[in-house]
Amino acid sequence: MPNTRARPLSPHLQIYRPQMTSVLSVLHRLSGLLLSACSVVLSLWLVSLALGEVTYVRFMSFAQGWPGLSFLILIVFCLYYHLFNGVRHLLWDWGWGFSLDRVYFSGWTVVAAALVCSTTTVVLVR
Amino acid sequence: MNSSRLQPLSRRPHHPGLGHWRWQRASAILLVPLILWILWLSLSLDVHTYTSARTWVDGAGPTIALILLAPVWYLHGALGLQTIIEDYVRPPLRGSLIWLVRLGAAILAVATVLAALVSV
Repeated sequence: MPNTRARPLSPHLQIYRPQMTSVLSVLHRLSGLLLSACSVVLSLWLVSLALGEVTYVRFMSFAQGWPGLSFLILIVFCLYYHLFNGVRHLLWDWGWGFSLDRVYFSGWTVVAAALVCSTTTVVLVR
Repeated sequence: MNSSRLQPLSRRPHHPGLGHWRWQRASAILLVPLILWILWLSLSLDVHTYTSARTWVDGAGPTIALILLAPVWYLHGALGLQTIIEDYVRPPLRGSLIWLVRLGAAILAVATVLAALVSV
């Protein structure tokens, strides 16, 4: 029989001593959460474009300057980090990379790749 | 003692979370090429004027990419948010919040696809 009993809530994060592995895990969730929130803005951008020039110009007037740039930096970093760390998760699901040295190696690889790719993208797009 | 523990994995009744797990992975695998594709296409996007943005979205590549990306993206997002809600929100609110997320994701996915299709 499937286990459908009421289960306890997850322990809150402050009870854990931060380690590289746990910090990356929390960052995966956090980046996913931020991407979900940011994608609403991206969809609204497309919708404003579909509604015509007046709506688009109005939308873009909010996105100009530092709010637009910080949004871009945030979403680009979250996207690359979640993408690369997501592949890391898929490799674990496949059964690869469970030893401690591989977990650390793949973790640092993900962080480095996300930093390099997001910096390159922001510089290219600006 | 739960007798299902003695059965091989393949014969056990499916756990209610199994469908969620599979969809989360399936959408993740689909998102990898779709994200890389849309990022590549975005290099030629100029958001500063209406005409340049319009021209980009009307292109065949971005239109197809956005139509494929939006449903998978919002499905993956809704499944991820469900996991977070299940971990940290207690039952009376938990179920309604999950349905609210699903509703919002569905509306945004449809709106994005329609917006990508306009004036093609």
